[in-house]
Amino acid sequence: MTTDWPVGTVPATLVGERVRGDAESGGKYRNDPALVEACLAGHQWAWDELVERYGRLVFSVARRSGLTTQDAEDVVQNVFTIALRRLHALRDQTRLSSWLITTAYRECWRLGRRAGGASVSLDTEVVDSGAPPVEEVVRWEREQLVHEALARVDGRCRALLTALFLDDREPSYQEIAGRLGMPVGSIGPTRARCFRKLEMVLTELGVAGQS
Amino acid sequence: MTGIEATEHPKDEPLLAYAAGELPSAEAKAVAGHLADCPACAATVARYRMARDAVVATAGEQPSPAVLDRAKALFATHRMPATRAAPDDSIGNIVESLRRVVAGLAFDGRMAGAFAGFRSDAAGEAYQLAYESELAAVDLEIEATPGDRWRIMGQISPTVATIPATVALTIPGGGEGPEAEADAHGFFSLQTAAGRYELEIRLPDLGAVVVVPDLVLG
Repeated sequence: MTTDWPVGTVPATLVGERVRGDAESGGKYRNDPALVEACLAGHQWAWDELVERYGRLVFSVARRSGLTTQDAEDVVQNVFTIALRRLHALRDQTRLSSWLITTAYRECWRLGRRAGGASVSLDTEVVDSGAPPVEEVVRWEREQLVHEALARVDGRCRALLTALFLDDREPSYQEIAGRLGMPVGSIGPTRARCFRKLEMVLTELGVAGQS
Repeated sequence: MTGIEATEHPKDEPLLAYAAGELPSAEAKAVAGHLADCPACAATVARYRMARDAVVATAGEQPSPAVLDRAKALFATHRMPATRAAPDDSIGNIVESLRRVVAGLAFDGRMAGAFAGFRSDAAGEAYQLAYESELAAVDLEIEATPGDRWRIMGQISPTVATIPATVALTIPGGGEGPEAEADAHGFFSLQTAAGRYELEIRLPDLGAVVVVPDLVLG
C-alpha cells in the first residue's frame, strides 16, 4: 500500500485537533443511539457530532463511487437530509455507518443515473446495481472505525500516528518531529505508546485483531 | 501464553517499525520469524497495517468544512415531529386486525424550492416524494423508464424497528400490481405501467398497512 501523499500536504483536518460538539456535549464520547436520542431532544450539538463523525464516510463513499467533488458534496447534503428526516427510525441502529453507507451508495447511483453521464462518471459496478457489495460495506465500516478510534485518542497521538501512517514509503522522522514539535528520538517510543492506546479503542469498538 | 515465548517477544518499538516497513532486512527477518509462531504479535502488526491502510485509503477524502457546516445547518431548519415518538402503547392493540394507516404527503420534489439542500432536478424525468405517517415514513423516487414504464424506488423508515415489510402497488377499485420485499434498510424497487395506484406498505410485525394514496404515474 503506497500513497503519493507528501507529508507536508497532509490536510489539517487529518492531523489537527478534532472538535467534538460544543461545550454542551461535555466533550465525552457518545455512541450513535445516544446521539440520535439527543438530536430528537432538539440538541444541535448532537447533530453536529453525527455530521463530524460520519461526514467523511459519506463523502468517501461518493468519491470512490466515481463522483466529482461537487457531486460528492451534494451526496453528503442529501444523505444527511434523509437521515434528519429519519431520526426516529435510526435511533435503534447501534451502528449508523451501515445505513449511511447504503443510503450514500444509493444516492450516488441515483445522481449518476439522473445526470446521464453529463457531470458524473460512475464505476460500472455502481451503475449496475442499487446496493453496495457486502465486502465494500465491510471495508468502509472498518475505515470508519479506524477514524473513530483515531478521533478518540489524544490530539498528539492522533497527529503522530496519522503522519506516520501517511508517510510509510519513506520515513522522514526529522520532518514529522519538526512539524509536531517533538524530539526525533521520541518518535519511536511515542508511536508505540500511541498505537497501544489506539488498539485499546479499536478493541472497544469491536475491531477484530486480524483482518 | 507461555513464559518462554513472552521473553522472545520483540518490544513494541521494533514490532511497529517492522509493521511500518522501516526495519533493516536482517532485523526484519528476525521479527518475521517470531511472527510466524506468535499470533499476538502478528495480530498487532495486522492491526497496525489495517489502521494505516484505512487512513491511507481515505487520505484525500475529507469533505471541506463548508460542506460539513452546510449539513450541520440542516438541523436548525428541521422541525422534529414530537408526536411520532410514542407508538409503543398503541402497537400492542392493533395486532388482531390489519390496521390501515394513510400516509400524508410531506414533500413533493416537483414543487419549486421544495427542500433546502436538494439540488433541483431540471430535467424533470425523476422526482422525489416523501410521506409521513405515525407508523412509518416513506421516501419515493419516481422515474420514467423507456416504454412508458415507471420505476418506483423507495425507502421505508418505520418509527419503531419493524422491517421486514412487503410493498405492493394496488389499483383503487380492485386490481393488484407488482410486489416487492424491502431489504434490511427498508429499500425497495418496483416497476409498473403508467396509471393511478395506491402503494401499500405491509408491516406484518405491526399488523398494519401504511397506504400511500393516489400515486399517479405518467
